[in-house]
Amino acid sequence: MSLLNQSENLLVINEVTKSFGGLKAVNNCTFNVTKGSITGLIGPNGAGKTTLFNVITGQLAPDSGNIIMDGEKIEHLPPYITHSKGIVRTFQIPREMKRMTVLENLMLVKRNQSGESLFTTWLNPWKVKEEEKQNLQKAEETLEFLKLSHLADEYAGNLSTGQKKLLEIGRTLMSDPKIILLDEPAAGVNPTLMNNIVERIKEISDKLKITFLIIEHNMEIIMNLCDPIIVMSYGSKLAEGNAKSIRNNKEVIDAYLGN
Amino acid sequence: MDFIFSIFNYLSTYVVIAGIYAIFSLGLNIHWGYTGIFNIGISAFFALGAYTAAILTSATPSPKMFEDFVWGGNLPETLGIFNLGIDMWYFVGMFGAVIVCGIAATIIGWITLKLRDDYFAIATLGLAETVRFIFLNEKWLANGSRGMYRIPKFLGDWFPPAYYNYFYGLFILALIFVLYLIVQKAINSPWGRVLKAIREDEIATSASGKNVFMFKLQSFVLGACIMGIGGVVYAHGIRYLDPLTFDPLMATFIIWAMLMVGGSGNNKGAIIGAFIVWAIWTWTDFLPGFLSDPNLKFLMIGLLITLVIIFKPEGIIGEKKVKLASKSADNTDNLSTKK
Repeated sequence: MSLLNQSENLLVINEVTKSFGGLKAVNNCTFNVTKGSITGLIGPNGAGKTTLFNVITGQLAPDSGNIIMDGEKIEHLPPYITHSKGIVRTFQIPREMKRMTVLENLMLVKRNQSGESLFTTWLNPWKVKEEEKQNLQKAEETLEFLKLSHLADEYAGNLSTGQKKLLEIGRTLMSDPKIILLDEPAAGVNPTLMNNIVERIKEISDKLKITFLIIEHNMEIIMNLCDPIIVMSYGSKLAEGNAKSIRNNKEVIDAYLGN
Repeated sequence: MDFIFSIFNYLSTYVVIAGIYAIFSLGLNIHWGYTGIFNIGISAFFALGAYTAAILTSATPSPKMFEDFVWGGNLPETLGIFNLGIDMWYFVGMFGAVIVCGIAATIIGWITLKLRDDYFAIATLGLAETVRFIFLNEKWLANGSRGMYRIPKFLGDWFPPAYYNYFYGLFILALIFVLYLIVQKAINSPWGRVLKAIREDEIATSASGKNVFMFKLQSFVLGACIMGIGGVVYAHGIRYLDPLTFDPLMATFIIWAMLMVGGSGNNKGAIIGAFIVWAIWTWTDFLPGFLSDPNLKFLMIGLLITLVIIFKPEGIIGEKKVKLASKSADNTDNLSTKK
């Protein structure tokens, strides 16, 4: 039974610790993300959720512990390598390329573009052109899926916060990921767009079978969308379970309200 | 008639110098306009390119040559084997300069490009001064403060010497065009797209699976090679080099002014900016009365930069939006009405 479970785990966080000076932002944190699940990651402000995202994607190196993706250790790889292993993320405050259009933002992300080598660009422009055509087509399909088609040629910096969050989700999709880490996809977004974002996440999960790990403070979204839910507090895992068990967990209530 | 002829003479010199600056401006545009690399050490690559070409193409400087230069004398004979009539040494020098600048930029970039923007800028400023002092102090290499002189002309005396500037001006314009096409091709590719993304947000670019450092290094090297070519063109155009040529004002900061005025992020803007700023810098000499005071040039360039920043912050020809969408092309107004 345990062996079977092991194989279903896409991402394993094993005793990961990351400290900044005397502060242990992530403290001996251990949990697994099951393949195909939408896992929620909640916790009070400063619990270390975003730091954990930074450690998983390689923006920060952990002080100790292992992170295993698809059976492969990835804890000391830089972001552009973890990206190629299929781990992509969005940011709490959207980091769009402001003076690039929405389409450019999406086309940037595709993996293994031969046009990213200067010599191919100069010496084999036909190949690059062909790839760009496919890339553009995929980007437009992604935009259509996100219902952002009308903004294709707009500078990303001119989008509203909610549209930027959708664009970030679009960027993750462009790279054919295995797992998407979403950092507060609904924060600062108006309710209509929020519904759109939630619908899109459900659809991606259902149709493309991509795994999600979502940080969110909006409990309505978390309770509707995520199973299981992991609660972090002071850098480590406090509880794990489905929406109902988390809602009734006394430790979790204490962590949020203080005791 | 003579008057018109002298105007043409003057204009040919203007095109030569402004054209050389346009090449530097193109190189800087790759660094700053597209990648956001804050390079204030342009003169380092200017000097490396110019001195490499001069060393490869001229005879070893000797005290006798200096006397010849100052007092007249029969110089072409002392230049010996390098003076081959139609000599292709020019392109050997250019090739050598590109190699030297490329290697220097790779080494320097490898060490410094991981620094944050402002610290990187200080490092490049240090590099520029270091290179200048090497050429000042290593007399065996480039004749120290006496400089290198009588650097061979492009294609020797194959073209009538009296019209050399006309010929060389046209050659420079052609060279700018070729470089423009090369850079434009690179920038409009996925490679250029990654550079622009780095300029906008390094963290997001690396989270999008790009090796930010390697792209910055490539951009730094390509820009430095183009600056090196500018140096080569300068060496064979002015035909005299000394370390004072490479002072930060005339070899770095005026080029920044050109790029800012013309429009960073647009290669046409970079070229046009060079011609505009150099026109103001030199043509003010002809203004009447106190207006032709050389010190007022600084004021006028400063005024120009200020005006551009106030009225057209993106430069005279700013960066163009890349429009790709296959359908519903005119949606730009949609957004503003929604807001």
